[in-house]
Amino acid sequence: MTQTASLADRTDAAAGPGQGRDVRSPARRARRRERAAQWLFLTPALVYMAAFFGYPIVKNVVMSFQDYSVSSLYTGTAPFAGLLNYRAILSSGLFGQLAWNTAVFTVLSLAGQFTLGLGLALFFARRFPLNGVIRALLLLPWLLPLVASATVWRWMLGQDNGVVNALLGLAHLAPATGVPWLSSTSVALFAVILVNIWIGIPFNMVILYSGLREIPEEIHEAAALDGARAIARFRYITWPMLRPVVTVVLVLGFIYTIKVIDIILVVTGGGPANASQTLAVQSYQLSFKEFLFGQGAAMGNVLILISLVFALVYLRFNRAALRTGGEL
Amino acid sequence: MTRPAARNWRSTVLAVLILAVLLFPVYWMINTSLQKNATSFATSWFPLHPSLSGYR
Repeated sequence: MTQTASLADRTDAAAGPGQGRDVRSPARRARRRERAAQWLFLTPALVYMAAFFGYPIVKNVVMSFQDYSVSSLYTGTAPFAGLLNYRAILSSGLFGQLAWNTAVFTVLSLAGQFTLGLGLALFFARRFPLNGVIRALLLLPWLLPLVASATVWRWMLGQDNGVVNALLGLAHLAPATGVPWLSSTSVALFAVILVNIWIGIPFNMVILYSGLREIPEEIHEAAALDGARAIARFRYITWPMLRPVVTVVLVLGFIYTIKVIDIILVVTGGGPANASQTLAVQSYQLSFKEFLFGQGAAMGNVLILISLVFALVYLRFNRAALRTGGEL
Repeated sequence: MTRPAARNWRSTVLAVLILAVLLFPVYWMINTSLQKNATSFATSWFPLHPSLSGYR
């Protein structure tokens, strides 16, 4: 539509600028052409978004209201089921445990990643030889494919022959039989949290480190001259000035963590006895293990809703951070 | 003059230790991949007899 308009403009222009009815049109034509150019630049992004984000989400919402089963894959039709899928997942008796597991997984992962990431960022903000090289190497866990690193962790966490238990045994920190990382219902969730923390440290460290670098050195020097100790400087200078970055890291970390599925699938598979099962993993298993696509979609939508709330929080804080950034 | 420099190197040593702990899984992945008979039952600490058979 806009393309044909710009085409018409061009033929107008070709017809000659000296025509009487086009007295004020050069400016308007230029503006219209600019409009068309803007739309042309936007179109690929919009088509991409509609195809790869819009369509799956709409399809997911529709599916969650249908009785979509294996036979639907052949017939292509699925009867409308109303809220039955949602009722099924919410009243399955498992939902409470899943929500609790998801909350524990997300909160503890975030806390661990953030604390260790911040500690490392503060440590690497100091000047010492080989700082840059070591910092770059620390990014390695982030670069490895998740399935590969999760597989390595599954070997390492084995109860009898895993290297983690061997190391703990050498240090006399574990019972003689070893810690049943993956086979005990009370430990499995913490095992996957441990793996997830390990994977998340580089991300937290990098973002917080760049945030630390943004804080002008002079402020620290002035405070040091005024007699502020390291702890006071952190409390009254670093932390307040790092706050916008902290918010961004935590909210993005939340959104990345709550939908983690690959790590849990590989390390424990959600077991034993659903001990490390989260909403995201259950959504996958409902859809692709039990072929209850409708219920899987409903579970996915519950997750999307939770993430959406935090995405909105993120956007708000981001705008606030931009505003305060402008003031500085 | 020597003191701050010495402290700087101490930071480097600490950084290398942190690196060793955090990259241990990566080492373990490479270590296991180079051992011919590595199973989940027996993996030695170092690839003393490295073999590329895992990659073939």
